[in-house]
Amino acid sequence: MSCFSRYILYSLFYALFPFVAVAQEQREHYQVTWTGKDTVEIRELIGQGHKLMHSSPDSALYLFRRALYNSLHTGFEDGAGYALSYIGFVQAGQGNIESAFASYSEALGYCQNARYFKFALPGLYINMAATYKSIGRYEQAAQYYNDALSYLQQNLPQDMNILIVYSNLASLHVDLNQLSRAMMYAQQAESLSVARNNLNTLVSSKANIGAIYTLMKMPDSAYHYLEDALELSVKLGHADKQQFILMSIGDLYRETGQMKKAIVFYEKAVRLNRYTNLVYSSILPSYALGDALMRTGRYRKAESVLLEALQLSNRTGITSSRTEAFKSLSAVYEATGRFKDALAYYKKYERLNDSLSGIAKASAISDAEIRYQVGQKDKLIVENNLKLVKREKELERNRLYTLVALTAGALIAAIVGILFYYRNKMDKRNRHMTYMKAVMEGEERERDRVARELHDGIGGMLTAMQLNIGALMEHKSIRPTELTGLSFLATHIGEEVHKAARNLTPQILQDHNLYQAVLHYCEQFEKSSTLNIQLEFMGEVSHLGHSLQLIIFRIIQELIQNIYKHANAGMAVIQFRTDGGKMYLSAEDNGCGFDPGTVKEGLGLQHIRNRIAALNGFCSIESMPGKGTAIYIEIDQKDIPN
Amino acid sequence: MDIIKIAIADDHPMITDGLKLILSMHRHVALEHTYSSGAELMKNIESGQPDVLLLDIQLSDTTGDKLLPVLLKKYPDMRILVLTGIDSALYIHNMLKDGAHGYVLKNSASAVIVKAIETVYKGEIYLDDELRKKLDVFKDKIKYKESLKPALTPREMEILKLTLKGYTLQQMSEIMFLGRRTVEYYRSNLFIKLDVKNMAELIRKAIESGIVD
Repeated sequence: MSCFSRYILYSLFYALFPFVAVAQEQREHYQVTWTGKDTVEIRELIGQGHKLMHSSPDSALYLFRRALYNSLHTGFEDGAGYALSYIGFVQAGQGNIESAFASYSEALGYCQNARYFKFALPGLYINMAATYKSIGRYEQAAQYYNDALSYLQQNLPQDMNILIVYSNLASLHVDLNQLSRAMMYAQQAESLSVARNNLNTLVSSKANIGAIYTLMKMPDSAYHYLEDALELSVKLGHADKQQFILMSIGDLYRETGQMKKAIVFYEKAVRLNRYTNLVYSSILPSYALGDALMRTGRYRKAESVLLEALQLSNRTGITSSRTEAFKSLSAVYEATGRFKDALAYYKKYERLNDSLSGIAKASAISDAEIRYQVGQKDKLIVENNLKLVKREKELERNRLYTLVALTAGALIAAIVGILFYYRNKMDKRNRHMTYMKAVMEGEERERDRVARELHDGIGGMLTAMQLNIGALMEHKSIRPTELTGLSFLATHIGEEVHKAARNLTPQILQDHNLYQAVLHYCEQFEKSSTLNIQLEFMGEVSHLGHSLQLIIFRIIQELIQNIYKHANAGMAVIQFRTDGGKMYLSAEDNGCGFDPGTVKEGLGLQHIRNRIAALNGFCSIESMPGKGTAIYIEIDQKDIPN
Repeated sequence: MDIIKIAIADDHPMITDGLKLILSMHRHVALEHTYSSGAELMKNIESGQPDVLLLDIQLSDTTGDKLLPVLLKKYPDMRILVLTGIDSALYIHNMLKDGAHGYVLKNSASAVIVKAIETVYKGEIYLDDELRKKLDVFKDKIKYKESLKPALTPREMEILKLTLKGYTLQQMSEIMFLGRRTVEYYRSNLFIKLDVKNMAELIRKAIESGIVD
């Protein structure tokens, strides 16, 4: 299944704050000439402009500028800051990023000193964050959203804009591919929207949840949410939200490989209205449309759609999701034989993709969160704390080293002791074999014992404890409320113990067999890595006995881990064949390989050799730089020492 | 519409409580019993047999895949919908093969869970598109035995080609930097995978089946 790189959620840009009543008294201030009437007028101008931002940004800009003029004229600085923050926002929406930031920085001074428009400052933060995000500056966007959130939570906890910030944080985390956090923010936005009966934000949060489900590869859930959102957005008549939702439905079809349906929805999104916010009306749906066209082989159309959208992106400076367009365009050129162009766009894609890679974004954002969640005033404290934490971690690491050294020492002492004990009894080879086998069996027995003890021993005692608590509750002199907490805790510990017990032994091997266990292991492994594992089992495994199957399972685990850690391979083939009591196991990969003559084998390979030696089997590890590695293992049941 | 009687077997009270809440909003389903362990389920289901049983895989005392065949044999009319956190094609494959009527993940939207219940109640199999696709990929992966072209590993393929060119085991071992025994093993795999008894047959089959060009 193909993978798409565009992760976009609907951002709520338009933060209109409820107007708090401005004190009617006229404050004495040498420059101030404004009265309550002026503030009403300014608020009305901004309110009207806000309504027009969707449909007619130029008229909105005009109204905001009048509000600015009136504010400055009467010395009402709060109003000036407020107007400027919207002027900046409209400018950004029109692609005029430079002017937008000039307006924002002018606004900042006014908003920070705002006395009556308490909402001016967080509003500015939200608008700035949205603009930063639209040009791909995630760290700054996160900073300003967090600033807005903490300000609102402290000063205006009932304010609707908390909702907007949640939505936008969800969107930001999607960009960073942190889906479960994104889902958390989106759901917070949804439930708050329901609680406050705000249809406007309900649409966007439903749309966002749908889009996140698409990314989580849960199409049924996604479709359900998107359908709801679309219906609601049509009812509300918000063109840009509708465009976004149409695009998301397109994405859903594209993700599930239904390109033709996807194209229909993308085209609908583009056609709906050309005068709304450029991000949703043209740029993003065009990128998606171009990609879908490319995937259905309509290269010429794809090229023209993509080039047009990129031109718009260049002209306006709205660069978000451009990587996707570069990649699609490169694919178009490759398919039509224009390899030079293909390479040029691929290079653009790679360069941008590297600089925006998830890891970089994620660390940037978490730094930002640390710095700003606590508020900038506390910045120094946080940094000091960080230093402390770092120092503690160093200390801890040192302690860990000591512990490891001590444990290793103790282990070596034990090994030496045992070896010494056996020295007179057997020759060197046999000694080693028996020892290793004992260690292996011991390991498994120990895992098993710990699991059983956890389950039966501690689990049983916890059950007894709960029964006792129950009995106590009936006692008249004791308040039951305190005991309820205790009982809950006991249940919780019980669950944790069961989970730990399950993790110690591969349950599926106990319930089924080696083949099923390895299949399951590979499936789970592939989910979290890029390694593709092919598995071939030939012959029966059921006659091998449970403990032998467990040993083979651990060897296969080790083989796969080893390929994953060292081989840098895209593919691995694991084959296991039985012929009566004879077992043949091979692992080959297409990775970097190594020169057995010069490179010393690592711990992983030694471990495998030791395990095989303990079973008196044959093991050959062959490799060449650039040619991958092949490991071949033979074990005969009748050769295994008792 | 009939009221669909539901029971759930899951050892997490948070899951059962959450489900109670979700299902209480739908008039046509009624959650009648919750069982927190396999033992509790087997002991009590007789007296309150549901139309649809929501069965978790990881229970505190046993596993859902063990219980499934037993339940189906005893209560053939009951529909079983696996409701689990295990997102694994292997489990989907096994559970459906053993007769489960549907498989749905715990983190699905509530509407999906309700839809799954309705679908299995009607007697159809429920699996959402993405899981179905995963299952198809998985089936292809384990079907190699029946396929006409046996899946040869890259090294097996190379050994087959060299064999056709008349190389000896020793020569192949030197060219491929593989141990003699490893080469022998790979070639014995070829005999098994192409289902032939001797070298002549191996060569004939390799050419006829178009494995090597």
